[in-house]
Amino acid sequence: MDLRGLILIFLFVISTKCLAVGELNVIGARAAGMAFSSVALSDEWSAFNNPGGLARIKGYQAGIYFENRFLVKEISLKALVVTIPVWKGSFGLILLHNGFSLYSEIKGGVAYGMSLGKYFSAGVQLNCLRISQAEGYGNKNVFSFEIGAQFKASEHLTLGVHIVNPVATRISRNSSDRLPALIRLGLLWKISEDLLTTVEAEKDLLHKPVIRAGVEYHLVKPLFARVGILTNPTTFTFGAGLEFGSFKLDLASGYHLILGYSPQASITYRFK
Amino acid sequence: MAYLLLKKEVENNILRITIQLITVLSITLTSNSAAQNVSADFIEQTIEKLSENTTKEIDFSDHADEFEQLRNHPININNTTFNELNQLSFLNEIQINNLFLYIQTYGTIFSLSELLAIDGFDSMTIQKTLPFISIGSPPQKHPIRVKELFSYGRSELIIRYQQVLQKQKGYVFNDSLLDKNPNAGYVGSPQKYVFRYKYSFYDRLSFGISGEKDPGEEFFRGSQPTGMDFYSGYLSLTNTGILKNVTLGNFRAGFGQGLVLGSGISAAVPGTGSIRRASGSIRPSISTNDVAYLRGVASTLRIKNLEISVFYSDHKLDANPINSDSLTREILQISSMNGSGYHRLPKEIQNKNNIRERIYGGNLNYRNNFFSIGATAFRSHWSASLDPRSYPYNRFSFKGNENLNIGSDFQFVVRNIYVFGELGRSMNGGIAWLLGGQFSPDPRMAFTLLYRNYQRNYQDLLSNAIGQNSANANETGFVFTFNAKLFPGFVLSGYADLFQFPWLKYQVDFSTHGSEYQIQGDYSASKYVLMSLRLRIKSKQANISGSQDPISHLAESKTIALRYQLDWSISSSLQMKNRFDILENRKDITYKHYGYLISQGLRLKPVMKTYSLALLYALFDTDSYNERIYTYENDVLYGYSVPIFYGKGIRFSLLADWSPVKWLTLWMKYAQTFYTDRNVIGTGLEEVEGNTKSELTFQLRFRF
Repeated sequence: MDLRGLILIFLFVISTKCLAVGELNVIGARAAGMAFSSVALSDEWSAFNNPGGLARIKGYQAGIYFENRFLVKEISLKALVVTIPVWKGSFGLILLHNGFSLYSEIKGGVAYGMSLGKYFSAGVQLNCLRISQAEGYGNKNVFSFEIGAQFKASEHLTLGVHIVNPVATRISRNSSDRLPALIRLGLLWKISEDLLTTVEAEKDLLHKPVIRAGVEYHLVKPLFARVGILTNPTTFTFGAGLEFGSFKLDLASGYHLILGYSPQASITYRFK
Repeated sequence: MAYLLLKKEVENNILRITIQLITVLSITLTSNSAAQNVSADFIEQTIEKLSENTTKEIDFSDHADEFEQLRNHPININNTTFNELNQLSFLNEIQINNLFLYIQTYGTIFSLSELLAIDGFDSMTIQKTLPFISIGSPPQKHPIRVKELFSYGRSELIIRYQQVLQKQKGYVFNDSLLDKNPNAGYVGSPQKYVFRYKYSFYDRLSFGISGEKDPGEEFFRGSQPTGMDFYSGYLSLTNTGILKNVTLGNFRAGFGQGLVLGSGISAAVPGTGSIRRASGSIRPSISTNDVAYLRGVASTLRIKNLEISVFYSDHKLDANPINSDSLTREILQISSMNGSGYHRLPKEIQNKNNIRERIYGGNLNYRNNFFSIGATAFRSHWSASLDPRSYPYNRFSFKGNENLNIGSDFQFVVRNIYVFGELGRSMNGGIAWLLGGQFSPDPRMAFTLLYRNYQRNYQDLLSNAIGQNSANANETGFVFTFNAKLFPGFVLSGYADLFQFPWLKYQVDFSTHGSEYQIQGDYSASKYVLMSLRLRIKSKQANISGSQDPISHLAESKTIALRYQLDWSISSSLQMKNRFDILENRKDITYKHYGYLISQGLRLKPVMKTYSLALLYALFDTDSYNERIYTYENDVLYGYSVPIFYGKGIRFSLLADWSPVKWLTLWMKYAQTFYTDRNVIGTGLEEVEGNTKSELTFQLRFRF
C-alpha cells in the first residue's frame, strides 16, 4: 500500500472516531471473532472488557494479544494480561500499547473482580493512560476508572454491564477533551452445550450507539468457530479458537467494506 | 403565548392523575414480591407519560395516601361493593364481576387461595391484589370518642427541604437592575420547603394540613406574611350512618369517566394501562398542587344503592387582569386563570388570588353490583369575566363568568363484556360524549375499544376524560387497546389511538388528524430477570415554524421511540435496572434528529436493616430539545421526579433513607446533571452558569 492510501485510511479512521483519545478497546481474539461483544463473557480478557467477569476466573493465567487494524502497521494494538486469584475473585493486570512513533497510547491498569453471592459478581478497574505525541507536542498521563458487573440469571442466561470512565475525566486541565465515558450492556445466551450467542449495546456519550452480536459454536473437541456483526461502522467478524490443555490460541478478523481486514490473534496460558 | 399554553397544560396534567398508578405505586413502596418489578415499570411509564405533557412537578401524595389507607384497612371481599373494588384498578370490571358471581354461586370465600379458582384471576393479579384485600369478619365499629381519638389515632408529619446548589440568574441581581425592571429577580430565597401533617383515626375521621414554599418565593416576610405561599387542609368524617363522607376544606371530586367533572381522580391517558376510569367520588386532599383545586364543603350520602354527593367550593385564584373598574379597582375582565402557582416575581405576586371562584354542584348515582347510572351537574362563577385574546384557534373556548355543566354516565357488565359511557353538555350547548367497551374472550386477554366525540364548543374547565388535548374539546377519536398473556412469562400489550381535531389549535391553522401507536413485550427471562421492549410511534400535524410565507402550511411530525429495559433482581436486597432509549424525530423531509439515553440503576435495601440506597447513572445524547427523553427517578416519599434529558451529558443521583427508630425516617437525595455541550444551563431566570447543575433534598418523617 502506498503512502497516499495509508494517509487516507488513517484520516478516515481518525475522522470516524473524532480524535477519540483513550478509546475503549475490546481485547482478546475470542471476543473479536464475536464482533467484540464481550460484556457478559468471563475469561482472562475480562480484565480489559468487564472487570466483573474476573470473578469466575480460576487460577493464574497470562495472555498476549495482537491486532493490526486494516493491515496498517501504524494502527496496531499489543496487549498483555496476567490474572491472579485472590480471595473471592481475581486481580487482572493489564498493559496495552496502541499506535506508532508519532502518536501512541500506553494503558496500564489493575482490575479486581469478585463474587458477591452465588450468581452475582462485580469488579472495579483503575487505569493510567499515557499519551505520547511526536516531539514538541508533549506527553500526558491520565487516570480513569471503570466498573462492571455480571449476573448469572439462569443456567442459560448471563447479563453484563460495564461502565467506563463514569466521571468523564478531562485529558488535561486546559482542554475540553475528555476520555470517553460509556456504558455497555449485554447478555450471553447459552442456547445449547455447544452454541452460545452474545448481544450488547454500547453508548458512548459522544457517539451513536453501537450494537454488537456474535455466535460461538464448538465444532469438535479442540476447535471453536465464531462469527459476529457490529454497527457504526458496520463490520463483519469471524474467527476460530483452539484449546490444547493449558494453551488457548484464538484467531479472528474483522471485515469492513471499504477498509478491509483487521486480523487479531491471542494466546493464553493457564498455570497449573 | 406559548408560556400561557404550557401553563394550561400544567393545570390539566395535574388533574390527570391516576388511582391505577398509585395502586401500583403503593405496592412498590411496600412489598418486595416478584410483582414488584412489573408494578414499578408500570408506575414509571405512567408517571413519565404524564410528565411528557407538563412542565411542573405533579404532587401524587394524595393518591399515595389513599392507598396507604387501603393497605391499613383492606377491603373485605366477602362484604364489599363494586365501587370499592373498582379502586384497585389492576382488576378489570370483568374480573370483579366474576368475583361476585363466584361468591353468589359458592358462598363465602374462606381462603385467599380460592381466588385462583375464579375466572380471570392469575397468580400475578392475585399477588398485586393481596395487600389490599382480606376475607375477615365484618369490619369492627370504631366509635369516635375523645379518649380513643388520642390513643388510637395515627399522625404523620413530613418536612422537606430542597434546593438547587448553583446560583440561578433569578437570585443574582443588583438594585440598579431591579430599578430598571422589577421582574429581573426573584423576591425570595432559592430554597423549597414543604410540610404535611395528617391525622387519621381508623376509617372514621381524618384531618390534614400541608404547605409549600416554592423556590424564589418569600418566607414569612414581604408578600408572604403567613409563611408559605400555599396551604391546603381538610377535616373529614367518614362512615357515619347514611353519611358516607363529609369533608370540610380541600377536596377532589370526580364522577363517571370524568367528562363532566374529574378534578384529579384518575388519568386516562392511552398507554397507561386501562383506558376506563375507576369511578370516583369526593375525596379529601392535602396535595400541594396549587392550581385547579376545590375548597369548601362536600358530602356524600348513601341510601341503599343510591349515592348522593353535593359540594360547594369557594376560594380565590390567580388571573391575568385586562380590565378593571376605574373606581373600585375591581377586576372585570381577565385573559386567563390559574397561573403557574409560582409567586416569585412582583408581577406574579400582583396577580395572586385576585379573583374569586365559586363552584357548586352534585351527583346522583344508582349502583348495584353489575350496573350503575349517574347524573352530574355543577355551576361555576367567577368574579371576573374570562375574555381570552381572540385568535381563530380559541374562538370556541370558554368566555364569560359563569358556566353550567350537566351530564350523565353509565356502566354495566354482562358476562365477559363491560360497557361504559358518558355524555356532557356545557351552558353554551356544546356536547361531548364517549362510549367504550371492554371484552375479555379469555382470562388471559382483554381488549378495549373506545370512541370519543368532544365538540369544539364543549366548555368544561373541570373535565378530565381520555384525550390527546389538554382540555376535553375539539377532538374525536378511537382508541383500541389490548393486553394478552401469550405464554407463561410473556405479555404482549399495546394500543392505537386515531384522533382528529376538527377546529384549529394553537400553532395549528387547520383541521388536523394524527395517530399514536404502541406495542410492548414484557418477558420474564428467569425468576430474577425481566426484560421489556417497547415501540411507540406518534404522528401529528402542525404549522411549519419559522416560515416566511404569510400563509401557513402544515407539516407532519413523527416521533418513533424504542425502549429496552432490563431488571435484575440479584438478591432480595439488591436490584439493578438498565434502560436504553432511542428516539427519532422527523418533521417533513428535512428534519430528522435523534436522541439516546442509556442508564444504570441500582437499589440496595438490605433485609432487616434500617436503611436503603438508590443510585442512577445515565448518559444522554440528543440532537436538540425536541428529542428530549424522560426518565423516572427514585425520590423521597411523596416526591416524584421525572427529569428531562436533552443535549449531551451525564446524570447522577443518589437517594438514601434511614429509619433509626420506628417513629422517624430520614431521606437525603443528591442529583447532579453534567453537560459536555454547554456552559449555560436553562433559560431565563432559572439559568445556571457553568456545565453542572445539582440539587439537594432532605426530608424527615415523624410518625406517632
